[in-house]
Amino acid sequence: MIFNIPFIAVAALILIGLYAVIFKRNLIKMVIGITLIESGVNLFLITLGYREGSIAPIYTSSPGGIMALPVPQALTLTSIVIGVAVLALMLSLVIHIYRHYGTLDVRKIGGPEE
Amino acid sequence: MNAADLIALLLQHSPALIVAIPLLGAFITPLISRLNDKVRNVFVILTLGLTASLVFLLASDVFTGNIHTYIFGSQDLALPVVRILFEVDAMSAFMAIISVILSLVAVIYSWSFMKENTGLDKYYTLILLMTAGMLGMELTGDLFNFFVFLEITSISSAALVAFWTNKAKSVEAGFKYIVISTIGALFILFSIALFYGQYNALNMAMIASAIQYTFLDKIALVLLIAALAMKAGVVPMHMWLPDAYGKAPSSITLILVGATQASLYGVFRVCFTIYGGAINLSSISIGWILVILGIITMLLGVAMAIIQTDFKRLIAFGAVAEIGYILLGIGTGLVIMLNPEMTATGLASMKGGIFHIMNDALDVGLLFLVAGAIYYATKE
Repeated sequence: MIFNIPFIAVAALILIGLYAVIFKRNLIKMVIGITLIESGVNLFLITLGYREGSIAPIYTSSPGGIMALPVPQALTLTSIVIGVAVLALMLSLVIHIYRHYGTLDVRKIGGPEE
Repeated sequence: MNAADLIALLLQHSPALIVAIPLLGAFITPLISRLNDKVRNVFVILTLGLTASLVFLLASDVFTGNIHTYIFGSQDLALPVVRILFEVDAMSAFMAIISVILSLVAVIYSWSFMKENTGLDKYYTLILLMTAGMLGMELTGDLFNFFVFLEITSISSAALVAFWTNKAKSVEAGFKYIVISTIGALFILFSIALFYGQYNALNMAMIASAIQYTFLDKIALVLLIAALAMKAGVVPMHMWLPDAYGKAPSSITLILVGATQASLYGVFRVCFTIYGGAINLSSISIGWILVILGIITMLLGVAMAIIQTDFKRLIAFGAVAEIGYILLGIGTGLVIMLNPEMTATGLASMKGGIFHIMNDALDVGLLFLVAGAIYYATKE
């Protein structure tokens, strides 16, 4: 791989995601940050299973040569499915928060008890 | 087939059944809910009762010294096939007993506590899912499986924390909880990837036997401890806990105590199973970090409890302090157990930490039930 670009992309995705979760004031942007972290971790898993010049691990129609390891890909699929569930739940909670407060700005949400 | 054979067969398959029965029950609950509300409540209680009896059956055998291993996938261990192992030792069985009892009590308590609410079919489905997730976390011997069950637990518990969606504060607490637990779970997945890249294994025992304590392993250890401590509500990351405990229905708070302790069980597993062979006298700084975090958690939890005016938030800060005591037990054990003169003291502190898990489940859980009873009587 050229200059380990996938690993640099993993680090960039996770750091941008963490920045968005910690410093952004909009709830939707926080949710986007979490999905960015998730994409970074998924990319890391996929990259670990890849070797240069390898082909997709489909045994029945293999032209020969080395195959990429299928286990990290299976793990990534599971992780993507979980990610979709988490994303749906977070967005539905954001909708409820918007109904109650009429805003998505974290500085205006909360405050004193009812 | 006579009764003794049946019990032996149940015992052999109990690790799988303990997770499978609440999971299947969760998906049948909405269907049964169509029939009648009382039938549904009885069904949920019976499902959890059956699970509890299987847990007790398994625990009674594990406590005599047998470690149960249950293999999902190819039984022939010589084949290089990926398989998932459930490994039940005394610690897992102990935690499973606590979780299943908390869930059973919460379901019985919800019968009258939640009876004026709508949407109870979803409520009971999520409770059963959450129980399946907690039990899976405690019985599994596979790191990726641990991550999956952790996510099942956090998704269903976040949905339950926000169950009273007509209250703005509940929804807010649920959102906080899902953000914190998702980021924690992604850290755990990242460290699983680090392990898999180095040792080509996902099984905890295989990683433990191969571990070299390299630089990458240290990063993985930090990520695992940070993520699990975040989910357990240790002080720098405790902000979600008083909100979630205070705003959830009381019956849910009781199960949340169990979910928190399942994360603490994860800390035990990481420190003593995965890194058990690698941590030696030259690398006890992780023990000191846990000791310091535990002490700060104890002090801050109690100090913040004094100034609270809301009853449930007061108990929630008490629960934060209790987590600190358990963490102090783990940390002290890690620091001094390897010193040959103090091994007995280290073991005693660990026993204290583990014993306090049971105390925490009983006292904090019962206090939350009392808070719920007061709420039920006064509606305030």
